[in-house]
Amino acid sequence: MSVLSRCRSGVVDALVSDAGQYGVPDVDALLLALNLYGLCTPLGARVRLQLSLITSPEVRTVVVAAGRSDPPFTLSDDGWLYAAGVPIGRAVRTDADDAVSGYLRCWKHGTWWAATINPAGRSRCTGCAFCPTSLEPPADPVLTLERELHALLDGLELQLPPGGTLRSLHEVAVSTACYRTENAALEAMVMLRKVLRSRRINARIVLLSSVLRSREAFRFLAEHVAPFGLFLTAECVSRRDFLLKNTKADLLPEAMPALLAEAGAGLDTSFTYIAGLDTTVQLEKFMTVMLPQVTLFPSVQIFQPHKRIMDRLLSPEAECLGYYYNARRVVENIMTDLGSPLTPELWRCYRSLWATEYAGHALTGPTR
Amino acid sequence: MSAAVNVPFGGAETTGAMLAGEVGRAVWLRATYRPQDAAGTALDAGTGCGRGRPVLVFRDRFVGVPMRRPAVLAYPGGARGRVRLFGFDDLTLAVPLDTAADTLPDSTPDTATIGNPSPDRAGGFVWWRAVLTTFDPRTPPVPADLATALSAAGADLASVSMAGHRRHAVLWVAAAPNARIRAARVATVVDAARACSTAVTAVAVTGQAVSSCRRGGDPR
Repeated sequence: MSVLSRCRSGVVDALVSDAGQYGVPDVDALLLALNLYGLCTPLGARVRLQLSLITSPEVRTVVVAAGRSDPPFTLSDDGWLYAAGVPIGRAVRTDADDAVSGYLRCWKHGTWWAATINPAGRSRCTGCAFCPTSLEPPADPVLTLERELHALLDGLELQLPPGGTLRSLHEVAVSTACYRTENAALEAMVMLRKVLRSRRINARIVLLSSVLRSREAFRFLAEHVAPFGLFLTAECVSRRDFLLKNTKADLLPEAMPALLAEAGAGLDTSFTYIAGLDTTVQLEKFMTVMLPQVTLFPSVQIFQPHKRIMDRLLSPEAECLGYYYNARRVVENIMTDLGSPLTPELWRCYRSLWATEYAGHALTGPTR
Repeated sequence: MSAAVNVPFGGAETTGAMLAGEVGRAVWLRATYRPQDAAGTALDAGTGCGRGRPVLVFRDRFVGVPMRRPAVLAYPGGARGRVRLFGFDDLTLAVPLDTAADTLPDSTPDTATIGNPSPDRAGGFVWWRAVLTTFDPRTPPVPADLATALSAAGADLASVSMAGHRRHAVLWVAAAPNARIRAARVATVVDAARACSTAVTAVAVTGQAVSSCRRGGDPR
């Protein structure tokens, strides 16, 4: 039964009215709208939900802006999610997203297969204009990196189910590290590999960064840190010096495909992109040259305006949900033309353009 | 999974006379130890190389606490030490930044010594009572050009309700790479602050308000 047949609300109709024209399932359209418009709750600036929709009961992780005053979505004290007063799902768990030192991901066959850690560095980061992380208090890097990494892994280890071990991790992603230089990033990756080896964790390390740029750096990573994957933090094409911190803005979009191609000689490669900051024409042009270079499906994220300043960063086109429906189609078409077997991994991106379907096929696999 | 409970920080159990910006709370904690060699390198458990440096685990998971910033713990025996907090989905940890944590009594259920303050034994662990003091992060000062522009527009960053949003605005302007970008960022912040100042009530949720292209002309 579709969402619309359950919720004959004009509001919900309006939310997903154009979705069918783009072949976007109702569930994907609702989650897309939730990501874009955020929630009205007293829980803080940002909230992490383990959400089960009425029409798609599988629990999935959703992390959205929570302090908006006027979104169509509200969350009741007992976890029910409403679209303009109509219940559409329930959060089986709700957390203020202020506890972000690290978290376990990719729950499959009773085991966590991946983890994300957020090492120190934010005290040196002014943040990009659209980044919700910069809304949090800055970290103070008092610990040595090795102790910090052990503390992060200790925290993850204590959350494992009985009998669980971090040695089952296949991937450890380093996010929001904000290394200022290529050398700093390389040293941190070497240290992380050392710490992981000391704990007999043989996971691929994935780094979200735009400071790794040289052929020498990629060779070094392939020789000393691999298995390793680089998610180039591309983020957007337009207004980069206005939107991005300097260590990202000084990488030109036209240099990115060659950079990924260079890295791809020995590493896994992909990129992050924020849908909502560029025009559709810019998005399509960029995806056309970037998607041929990836070995992991890119993290194409829905821009989440958390506050009024961020509202003003949206590309005018991206004020319409149709922009995001079209962005899905653009990526799907390019990947299909490339003959790429890659599809979105739902656990990898909590604000993805895709939730249940990709290029007409149902998405399977872990959702959190 | 741990059975940790989310506890808003700075509640009824605030203790002592705190300086401005400090928040103190009675907490329950235990220590776990990761073996390490003489050089401080962590070793796998079971190598028999001593108990190493402790990681402090709180019985309750805290929300609303500035994570990864230094905080101060008053241990059961009275020693005070600096720690750094780490937050996770199911628990809150602290890593000691000095040796005061060595005074923490053993948390092993069988050997918890008599004579220490009465421990809590929830979840099969021995939890010791301590007082954790955290410090509010300071909002950086508003740059002069931003302050002037806000004043000229009759706007005020105080109208931005969340401290994190105010901090973000100030830092974003301060980090501008050149005068042109700085002016553009100042203008954006002023525009947003002015909208905050005039939005006295939340926009009513209507079908029209959530139509796909609803944001044109929206005062947000």
